[in-house]
Amino acid sequence: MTQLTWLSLRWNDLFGTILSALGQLTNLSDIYLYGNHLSGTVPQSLCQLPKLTELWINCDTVTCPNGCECTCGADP
Amino acid sequence: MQQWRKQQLFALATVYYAFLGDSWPGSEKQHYLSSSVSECDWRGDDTLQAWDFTNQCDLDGRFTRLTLDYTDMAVIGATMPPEITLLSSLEGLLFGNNVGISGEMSDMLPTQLVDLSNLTRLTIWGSTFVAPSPITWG
Repeated sequence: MTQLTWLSLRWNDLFGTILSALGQLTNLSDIYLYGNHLSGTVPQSLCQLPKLTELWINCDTVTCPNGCECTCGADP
Repeated sequence: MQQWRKQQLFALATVYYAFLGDSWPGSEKQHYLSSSVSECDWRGDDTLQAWDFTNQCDLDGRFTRLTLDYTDMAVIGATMPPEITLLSSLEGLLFGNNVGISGEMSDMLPTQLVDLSNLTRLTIWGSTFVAPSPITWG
């Protein structure tokens, strides 16, 4: 699973915080987590993924740290 | 029949029954578990041609993409069978729009998924989970 480049878990009613362990999947380039009820701050481990190009979150409930490039997705 | 093919058929059958395949609408069930149609064509001639909406095999007939999408399965507490990891060539896994699927995210993403070393795309959307994703990444 360490080859994962695309992870989309949008619109699943997920809640809680985003796991920093996602940062261990170092090939991830596209992460879509919007449309859930996630909270907290995007872990730095995700922001620092070397191949990251898309990181979509609900900006109204999840904080994007300074220097981290997030895109705001909408609720369904 | 080669060992990998037996395992592939077994894995697909467990997925089918885990998600109450007998209750799927015809468009989703298309040829599933048919002995006269290659498993690569189970739901293979769907009119939806987009990347995300069909199953796919490689030239040897090994499953590379498993899709259950646009179903109306209404399965409460559905659990992804760990046998899915027998599909060792799987590159893409998509479960979408499964209206009524609810349960623990850990049940939808069994720890064994970590063993799918070729998996590059994972999508689960439009489902309802009662817990955050306690995924153990290997």
